[in-house]
Amino acid sequence: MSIASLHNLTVRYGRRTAVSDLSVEIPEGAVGLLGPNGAGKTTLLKTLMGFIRPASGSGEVLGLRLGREGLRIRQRVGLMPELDCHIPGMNAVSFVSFAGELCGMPSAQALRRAHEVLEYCGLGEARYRDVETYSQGMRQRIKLAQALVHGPSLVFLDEPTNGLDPEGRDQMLALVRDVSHGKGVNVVVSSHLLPDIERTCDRVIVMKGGAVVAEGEIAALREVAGSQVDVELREPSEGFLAACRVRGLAVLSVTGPRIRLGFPEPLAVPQAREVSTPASSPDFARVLFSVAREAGAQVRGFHPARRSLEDVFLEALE
Amino acid sequence: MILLDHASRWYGQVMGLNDVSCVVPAGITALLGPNGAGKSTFMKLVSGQLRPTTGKVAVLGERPFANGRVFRRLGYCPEVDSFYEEMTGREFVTLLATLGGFRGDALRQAVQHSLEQVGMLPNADRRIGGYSKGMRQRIKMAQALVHDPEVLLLDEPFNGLDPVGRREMTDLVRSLAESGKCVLVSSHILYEVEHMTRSILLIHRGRLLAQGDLYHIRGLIDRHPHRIALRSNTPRELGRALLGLEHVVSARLDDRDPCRLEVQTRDPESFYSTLPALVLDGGFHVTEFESPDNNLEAVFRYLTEQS
Amino acid sequence: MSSIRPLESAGPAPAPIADTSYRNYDGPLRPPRFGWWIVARMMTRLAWKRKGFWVLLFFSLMPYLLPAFLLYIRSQDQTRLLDMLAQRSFSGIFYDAFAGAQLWIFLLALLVGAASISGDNRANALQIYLSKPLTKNSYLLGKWTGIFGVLAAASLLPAALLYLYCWGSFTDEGFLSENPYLWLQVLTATLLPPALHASFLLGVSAWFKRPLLAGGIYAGIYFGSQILAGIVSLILRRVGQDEASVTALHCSVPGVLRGLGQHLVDTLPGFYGLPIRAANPMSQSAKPELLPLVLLCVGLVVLGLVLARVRVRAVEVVRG
Repeated sequence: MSIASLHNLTVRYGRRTAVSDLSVEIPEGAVGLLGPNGAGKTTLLKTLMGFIRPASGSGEVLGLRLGREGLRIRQRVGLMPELDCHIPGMNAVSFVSFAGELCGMPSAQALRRAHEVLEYCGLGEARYRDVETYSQGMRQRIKLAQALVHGPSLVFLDEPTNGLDPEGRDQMLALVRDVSHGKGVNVVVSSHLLPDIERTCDRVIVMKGGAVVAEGEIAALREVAGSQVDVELREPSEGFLAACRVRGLAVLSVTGPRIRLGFPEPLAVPQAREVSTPASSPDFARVLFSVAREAGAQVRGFHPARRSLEDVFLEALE
Repeated sequence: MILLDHASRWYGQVMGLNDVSCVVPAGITALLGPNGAGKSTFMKLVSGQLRPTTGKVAVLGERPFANGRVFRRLGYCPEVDSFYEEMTGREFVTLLATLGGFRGDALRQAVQHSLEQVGMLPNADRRIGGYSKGMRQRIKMAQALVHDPEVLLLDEPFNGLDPVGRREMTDLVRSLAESGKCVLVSSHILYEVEHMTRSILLIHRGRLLAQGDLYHIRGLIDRHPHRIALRSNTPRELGRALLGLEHVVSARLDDRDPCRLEVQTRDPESFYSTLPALVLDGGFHVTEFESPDNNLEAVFRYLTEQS
Repeated sequence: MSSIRPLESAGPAPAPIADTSYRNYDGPLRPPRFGWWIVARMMTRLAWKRKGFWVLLFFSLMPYLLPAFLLYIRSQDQTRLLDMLAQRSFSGIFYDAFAGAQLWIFLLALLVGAASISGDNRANALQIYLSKPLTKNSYLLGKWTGIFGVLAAASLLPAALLYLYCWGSFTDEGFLSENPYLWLQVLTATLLPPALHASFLLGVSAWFKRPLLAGGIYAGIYFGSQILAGIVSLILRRVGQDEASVTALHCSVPGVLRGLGQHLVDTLPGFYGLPIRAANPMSQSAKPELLPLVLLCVGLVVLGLVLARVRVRAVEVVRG
């Protein structure tokens, strides 16, 4: 199921072609939209919000055709803009309910919904305050609240953690994840912070130069071929590396106490007593713990190697 | 290279920084803290824009406040975005280099070099008003680097850069630090900090909460209950065995993921050292294990919540 | 799909424990055609929440209260002390009140309109407005209607009250027969300043990020044009071009409104029939020429609307 789809879309600004012949399906759920500056993400968002009449090609969002039904599209989608923004001279409740009324909600419903959404976004206690007095984190939340007030089935989030400190980021990401999982809201998150995408989205679309260069489930994209494992030690240890090499493990990369090891292909056959899933995965623990014991190093964690989304992204751009 | 000795700064009755003493060595040091913790005040004290209300601040052995000698050896990349929008990037950097005392050929070379370092040569002759957020960030960086300072203060330098740009700029910062400069970076993006440096300064509510090597700090807070997640095909048996350890206080199976076991320990240090023996001798099959509390983000959260 | 259902079938039985986290809104949504009305309504609502609005409304009522008071005294007074009032036609009295209210209408325009778009520019509110089902034109229409509505209320209401008072008390003295179409003339005349201010101020406001600056610039144009027109008019009068001088006097933002007002109610300026000194530059022997005034007024309105339209750009909602 896709929530929006574009077919052979071309967008021009005057003489400049921003996107040419782009076909893409935005799947349901939480989707991350990645790409360097100038990759066409902005144009894609604008197009999906019905702002742009494509020069050629067609597309639809939530079953509404692009170009013709821009207003009806915007009634059913929400946008959390990147810039710090609010409507001046109002407290939070009137701002959010006004946003709801602009989407066509009757005023009584809009007011009711505004309270509900503000509560959900963690602004319950601050909802009668003027938005001008809000901190950065609260301003970010109210931007989310105004995007959700009319119950959109698709929400675009443009850099949702902009300017937030670690705690604020955690909370914002938790909100985004919560609203996009099991609440019937589909989200498209555009961000330069790849871990944000990793934490909120299930799928990702990577763009470059106006074209989609990679897309798919994040978990699948991050899988690494072969038996590799990431190990973290308490402290960087040369002895551990040496002992690994002795055992025939390939040391693929070392960053401080984090080591990526490659196991030789046919590895320790799994023990007989396994019950469920991790059956086929080689018994890393046995090898790693013995190595650590020999080298006197302390293993603080290990897991089958996954590429970071950053690696996936940089690779897709090449 | 930077030294604060019981430095405080008050704005009237509002606290900016309260009795902070620390030494920032050469290399990269990350300045961390929630919004409003006093990071900007710290930066401004060190860059000589503010005078400490009490205590002492020294940069390269001198007081930085309104001190031209320090300014010439210090580069500052502010967080706020203020430019002369009509200038080109090159003109802007040139202007600031001229203020820093460069003339003639040396000026042109310094400007060229710094623009090249930040990867802005292709766009150097366009109006700043037409720059993207990332380009503006790079130009700010270029003006901080143009006089080849020994001390660099970078306030949220990666804001607005795309992932490629972030990678390039972190590499640049790292190479600057390797050449012996003292770089103080403030950032909210902790995983990025973690990839750049282990040396941190954590400020919270105006006080210095922690300073020094990340691993050392983490070791010290190992004393609080610590979660460790393991995946095994026999999580029940493994959990039973782990509960036998004196310092393990709880073991929980995940109701959604049948292979996942989460234990809590009061003494991570002994947990990590006994785990290998327990796994090897017990013949358990562990496919992965790690602690969700084992990164800078968790350390940051723990420390700021404690105070 | 009606939102009111009979009580018996109020949906499925509620779960024992309600999920109070996020839930979807599936209530009614109006078709997105009346966005401009929502914007306009919010503008007026914000206006009347401010104290300044009521103060200025009171002041703009004064020029109409004064003649009503004078007329009342005259009707009660046996000494015929205020008989000179009778020299002024009812049209003239309405015009004088209209001219007297202009300053307050202008100040009210500043209060309501200076921040109309500049405030939104400062707070990036356009990002919010235009991400909703609201086109740029309906946004501008809403803002315009908001300013116009507030000003029209302040301009029209007092005039209507005075009209009703005269109608009730002076019909015997020929109030209706003197000029049966006065109501239409007064209606047009009082709606003209709100329309001009709403259009021109909207354009000015759109180009600034600070409401104070936008208001200052608008006030500068308002008074500056008046001073300039006064000087030009004085020079023309010195060289004996009396007619041109009168027209020049009205070639400013406030002047054009007064000039068109004179044409609309067909009268010359006065002061409720009370004597004003002959040396007063306000005293004029003829109405200003109509065509330049109409052109100027239409020009200002169009200029304002074009300025606003050029400045407000929809595609900036998502930025690169």
